[in-house]
Amino acid sequence: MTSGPLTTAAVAAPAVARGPGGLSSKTKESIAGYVFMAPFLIGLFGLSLVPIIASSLLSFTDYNLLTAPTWVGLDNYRALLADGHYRKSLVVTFVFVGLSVPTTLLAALVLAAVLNRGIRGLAIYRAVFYVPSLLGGSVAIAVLWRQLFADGGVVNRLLGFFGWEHPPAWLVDPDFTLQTLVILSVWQFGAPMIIFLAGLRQIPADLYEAARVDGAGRLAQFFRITIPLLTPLVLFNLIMQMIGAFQAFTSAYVISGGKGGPLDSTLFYTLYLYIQGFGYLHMGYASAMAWVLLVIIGAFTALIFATSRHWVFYMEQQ
Amino acid sequence: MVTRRELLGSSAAVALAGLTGMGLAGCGKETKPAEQGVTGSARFSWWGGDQRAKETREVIKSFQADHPGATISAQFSDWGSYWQKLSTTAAGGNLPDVMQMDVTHVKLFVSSNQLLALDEKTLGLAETDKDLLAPGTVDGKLYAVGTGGNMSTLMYNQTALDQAGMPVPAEGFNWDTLASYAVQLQKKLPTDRWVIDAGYASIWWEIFLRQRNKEIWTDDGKIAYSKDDVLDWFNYWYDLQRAGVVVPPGKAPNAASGETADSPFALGFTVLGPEWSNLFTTAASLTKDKVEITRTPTGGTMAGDSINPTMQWSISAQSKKVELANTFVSYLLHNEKAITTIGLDRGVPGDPAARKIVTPTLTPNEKLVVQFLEKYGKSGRPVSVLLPEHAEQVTDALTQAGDALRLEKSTPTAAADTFWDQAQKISKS
Repeated sequence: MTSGPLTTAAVAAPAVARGPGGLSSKTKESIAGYVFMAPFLIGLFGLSLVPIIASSLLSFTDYNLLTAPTWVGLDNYRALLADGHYRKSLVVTFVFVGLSVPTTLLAALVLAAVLNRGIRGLAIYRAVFYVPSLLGGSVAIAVLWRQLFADGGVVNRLLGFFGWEHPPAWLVDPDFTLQTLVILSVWQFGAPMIIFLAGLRQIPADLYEAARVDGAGRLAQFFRITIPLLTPLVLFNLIMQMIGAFQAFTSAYVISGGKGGPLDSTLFYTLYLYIQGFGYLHMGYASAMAWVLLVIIGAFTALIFATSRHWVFYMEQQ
Repeated sequence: MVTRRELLGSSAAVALAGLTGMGLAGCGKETKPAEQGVTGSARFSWWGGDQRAKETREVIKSFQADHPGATISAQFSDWGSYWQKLSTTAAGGNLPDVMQMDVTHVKLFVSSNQLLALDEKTLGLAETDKDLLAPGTVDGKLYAVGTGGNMSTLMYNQTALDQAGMPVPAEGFNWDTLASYAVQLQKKLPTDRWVIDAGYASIWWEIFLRQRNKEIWTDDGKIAYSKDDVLDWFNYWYDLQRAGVVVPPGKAPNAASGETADSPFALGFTVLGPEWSNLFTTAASLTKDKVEITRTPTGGTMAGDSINPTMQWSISAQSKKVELANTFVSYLLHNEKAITTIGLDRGVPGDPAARKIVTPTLTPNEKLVVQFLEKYGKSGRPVSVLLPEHAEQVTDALTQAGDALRLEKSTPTAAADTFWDQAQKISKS
């Protein structure tokens, strides 16, 4: 894909150098700039933008991939309102986002604060806690999770060891399956933790010193200095985690065998979208779902940004 | 069709045991028809695991050796991604010349003009069981040839029954005798062992319905059974569940994956179960016990079971290599090397001659499967209608109703109401 533009550049460059009335160095520079950007631009337009536009058009059609799409106007969007599985998938997704995002951030913050106290072997701990973030989204881990939470799995044996005689059937009882997925997601707190850790290290030590001189205790320091100065990172992590959680897919797909069961209890939004699109070949309907999800995520992001001026604290403003 | 999903989900596992063969057969060595003009290159795709891939590649190699100048380029993937790829390449007008097809997709692909009408003479199908051709026939034209056949069975653990001192399920079992047998058997089983898994959404569902109705679907894809049929079926299993002969759902938490290895039968929690004939050898290989098969319980007013094509062969309507494609499909169906290499992996060959070729190469359990089809295939009643595009969606609704009952979150009446409304809605849209 990139070879075209690059070849052009290679030919163009000497030509410019030779020509008497050659291009100005500024023009040359911007040509070079665009050539270097070409791989990205081609990717953006060819692989992202065009399909995005296509999907927005498809969302107004009935399309099964094999026959030409037929225009149905707003029918797909109307059908969403009447679809019980769709409503259930919204509930499941909101519950998942609502449980997993705050818990992940809290775990990340607490661990970061602990690790920041200068324990020996920090680099090792940091790596150990970060690893799940790299692995957690994979199919292998989801399969492992299924084994851990199975009827005779490690988790229930541990619970049994601690005296819980009838631990929940995590993967079978619809009241517990989603929790299993939340735990899997929270376990991947490493990425936000690293960001918090970096933020903690940037807080100037003299602030704490001044606070101590004024007689502030550790807790007061944490809530009056650490937390406020970390809020920009909380904002960043919150938005990134939220967007990721809305799009969660792999774990539910693997653990439920691709169907979002039992009783739709793990029917994440994107999983239902996938079932409709690639399972039932309702591509128009799936496209409509994708656009509604975009609107939902956009709305929540906007909401968080709108409220952020009340709770995010930037030191430069002070 | 749950059945399909179970069957195909486990295609990787299937491949392990090398279940099934292909091909109808006929004439021994080599097909005569369509011999000229078989040069150039054709693309061929299938779904399945590594073992199937290995065997299929071997067949391709021998085909190329027998046809100098012809090349078959192979692509395969697992069941899920296979259909994604096939649908998207169809959308791009770029289907492989020869492809493995399935009864769940024939109607969709034919109605969108993706498949070539096949010629029975060219492919040498005169002797082939009609059961393997009818499910690929639309408006009198053949679009997909069954690679081989399979049938629903009642599988039982002979060792466990011996230990319990119970006779094996007789082949004339109907639904009522099965129920009373199950209750009696449960009393003699050790704790942590049950008679059967709840069969709400099992492969027996369709058979039960076909014992009472001509077909499950009408030609235009509407539901062809009644709500009472659904209710009776739900009640049947719910009563068994209440009687304590059904394994609790927590015992086989991964059963939703559809893998044979994850089923409660393979895990040793149950001693009877519905199973496809072509998964029998896999299921049998997963336990040390002696496992046998007999006919699915009877009932209603007619036979409900039938020989189904395990898979099918189709040729793309856009193929520019029709002759080569025809020759290759014929080779898969009739060539001795091809038949013996694939064994029973793609179903029991639908032609007596091919069965004769393949049988001596089979294991004892595989021979049992061939005998089963020869014995019960004739008493079955071939399916006369194609599965509509939305069949899978209705199956998912059935699975969900079954889960609700299994987990005691619903009653048979309520579950039947919910399922019925959903199924009606799905098949109208």
